[in-house]
Amino acid sequence: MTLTRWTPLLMAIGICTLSALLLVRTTLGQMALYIHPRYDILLYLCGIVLFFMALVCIIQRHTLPAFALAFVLIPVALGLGVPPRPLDANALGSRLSSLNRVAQRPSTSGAMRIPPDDTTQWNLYDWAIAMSIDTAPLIAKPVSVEGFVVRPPDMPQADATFMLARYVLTCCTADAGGVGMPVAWSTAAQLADNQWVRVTGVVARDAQGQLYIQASAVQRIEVPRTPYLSP
Amino acid sequence: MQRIIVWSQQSIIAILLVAVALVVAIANRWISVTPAVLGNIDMFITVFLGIFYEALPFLTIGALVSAAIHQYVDPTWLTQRLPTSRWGSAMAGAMLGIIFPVCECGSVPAARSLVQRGAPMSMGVAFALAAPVLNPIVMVSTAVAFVGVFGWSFVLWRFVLTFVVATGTALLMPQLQLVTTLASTHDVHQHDDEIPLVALLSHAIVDWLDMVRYLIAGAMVAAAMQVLVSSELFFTVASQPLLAIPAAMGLAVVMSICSTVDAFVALSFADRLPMVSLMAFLVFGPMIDLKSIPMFAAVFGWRPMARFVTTIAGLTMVVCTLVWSIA
Repeated sequence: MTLTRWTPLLMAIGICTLSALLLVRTTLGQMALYIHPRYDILLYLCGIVLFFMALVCIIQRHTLPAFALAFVLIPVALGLGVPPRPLDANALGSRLSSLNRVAQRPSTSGAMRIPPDDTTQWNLYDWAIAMSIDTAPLIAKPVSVEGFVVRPPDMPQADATFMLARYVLTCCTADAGGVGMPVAWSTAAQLADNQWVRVTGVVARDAQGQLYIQASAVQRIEVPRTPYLSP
Repeated sequence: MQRIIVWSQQSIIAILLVAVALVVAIANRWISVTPAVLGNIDMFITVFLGIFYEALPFLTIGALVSAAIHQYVDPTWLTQRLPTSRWGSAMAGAMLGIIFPVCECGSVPAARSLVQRGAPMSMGVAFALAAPVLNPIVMVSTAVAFVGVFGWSFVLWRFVLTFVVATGTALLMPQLQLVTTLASTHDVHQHDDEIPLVALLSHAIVDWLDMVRYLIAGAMVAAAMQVLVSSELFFTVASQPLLAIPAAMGLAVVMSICSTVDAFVALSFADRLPMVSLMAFLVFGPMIDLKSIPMFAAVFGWRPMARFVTTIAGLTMVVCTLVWSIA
């Protein structure tokens, strides 16, 4: 099926919309919900090239397949029609058994990540790295971390504990892996799944030898502008 | 027959658009579904858009490289300077990524352009398969990720085995032919009197449109697989020694991540996969994944795809096993 005389214009509108989507979402920082910020410059360049390609579509009036237009409309519709959302507790559900394994991912610069001495400056990824090396020095260290609430089905004392988790992303949401720590908090039952919170407290060890955060405060917060952590 | 094809395409377009409208309605909470379904729809959209947004710039670069080959490479000049033997062409094609550094989304349209301008098919196939790894960007990223862990030999083996599998596939699949597509029938001399940049973009848009639908279809399948199939399944299968290599290759296909960063992701599997499986992940993944299969099918047709994929998978398993048995 080839398109009628209107199709170069329709195609140009479709590609222009995709171009605008890339440029606007990148400028607003919303692409960080989908891919690593290192790709921002490529997204800007791609948006600009697509804009000029759309102009050429109109100038040249190519005969183009309607099939291609229909496919281009899919990411345009999902990108424009659905508010950008980060991966959440539900997506982590199937990956809980591999929680914190992502701590072995190196930085893409090759440099060894050295967290600051003050453990209240550490994020959940820093804690995952530290726990993968040696847990003994971490006991009683102060903690201040942000993340979302998730409840594994087999979590003991579900009314008074929850898992604080966050995603680590190397390239895009297809490779996202979770990091997290259990939190003991007397009113944990009042926190909904996916609720973002800042937890302060100290690290403790339970009867099974697992580290957890004994929280002294749990504060509800908005979803951060960059919800994912990077190696 | 023509009427059946037209009706079929119209039906697919209609089904696609209705499905997308339904997904948009559920994701916006206009239609009430169970929390599990809602969560899966949200995850599908976020993973699909993640793969698409990440791959789109590389596909666009590939379309521009393809257009530049069309516009600036003279077929006579090219054929006079290329190796005449199939072996020579395939080996030269496998190393061309050093000059044209494109990843898997860009290598397929660029390879098609090369063949259309007179390069032998064996060169185009080897280039399409090897360029996503044998290019300066991926060489550096692989070294950064693995030198400190497994040493230089592991890094060099990735390049050597990619070269062997790409060259071997090009030689074992002499029957591959380009199928007729919009891009292959596009008259490259149609607008010789126009501004070079406009002519370049004019070629690029045709290549881009020809390939972007396959990228979108592949990204949708990859996102659906991530929702439906847990990666833990592959690690469980990989714990069986005989299945470790195929499981790692299956994981690479399902994850469909870009070759520019796959080394960093692979390293996080180092304690769960044997080293030989990691190598299979790094050699096979950049050649075959859920994005690249539809793109290869767009260029070579669906008919030889099963043999094409099987040949690459078989060669990867053989060379990885052989090297690890000896080394």
